[in-house]
Amino acid sequence: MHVTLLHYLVLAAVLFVLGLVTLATRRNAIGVLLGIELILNAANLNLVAFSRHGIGGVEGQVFTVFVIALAAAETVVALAIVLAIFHHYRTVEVDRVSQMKN
Amino acid sequence: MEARTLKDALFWAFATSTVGFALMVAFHQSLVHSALGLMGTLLSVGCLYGLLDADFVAVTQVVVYVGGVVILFLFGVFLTKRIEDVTVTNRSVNWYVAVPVGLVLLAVILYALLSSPIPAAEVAAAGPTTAAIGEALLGRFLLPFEVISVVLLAVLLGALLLARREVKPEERG
Repeated sequence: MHVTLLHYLVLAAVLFVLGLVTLATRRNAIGVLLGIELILNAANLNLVAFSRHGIGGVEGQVFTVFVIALAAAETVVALAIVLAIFHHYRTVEVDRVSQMKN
Repeated sequence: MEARTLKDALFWAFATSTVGFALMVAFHQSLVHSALGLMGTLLSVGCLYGLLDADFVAVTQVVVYVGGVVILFLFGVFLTKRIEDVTVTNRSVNWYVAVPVGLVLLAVILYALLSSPIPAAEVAAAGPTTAAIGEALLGRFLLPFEVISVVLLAVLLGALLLARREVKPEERG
């Protein structure tokens, strides 16, 4: 049985669900961010697989490049926020960070 | 036929390592190990991009994600722990709810995939796509491409503003 588009889609689905479970169970803010990266990679894998199998042409890969750039930007801002939270609360457990002011 | 068999074997190898490292991200007790697991996942996905003839995306994945984002995560881990904490714990809560919900969601996605008309036929390899991506970026996608550069500049300044320590007036001078 040769590898087809469906194999890649199933793999991306597994990756997405693992990312979602990470997102739901982690209490460390950086752990939550790791889950987001897994989800973004699952979406990217779908886009590239569709592009390779003739659906949408090269646009899928262009979109993947955009997603990678935005994911890097998102990580930078999120980690800066995490650092600011750490300076303020001395913890990055998302359960204990419950105030937006003071 | 030989080449296809080899490609299939490579797919299974990279798919196994992708899922294995992703499990490490999701369930390992140490946050540093989770970040390194993310590095493994991203490398494996980059190899899958290579298998899918997406050479430019594969290189971008390695340069930006593995070289940049994961290092940033490791810096984040080391900057947000007390120096006396030997192990950075990364405990999971509510996993007895999250894992069954995740499995149900996976079943729903698989059902949707298997019941939708996905073309199974193999299409001919398109060859390297870097030139086509370059033409698309500077043609149809010129405006988004330029907007991304503005976004990156904004992110640079915003991250600097957020992450600097506040200097209290009495500490100054």
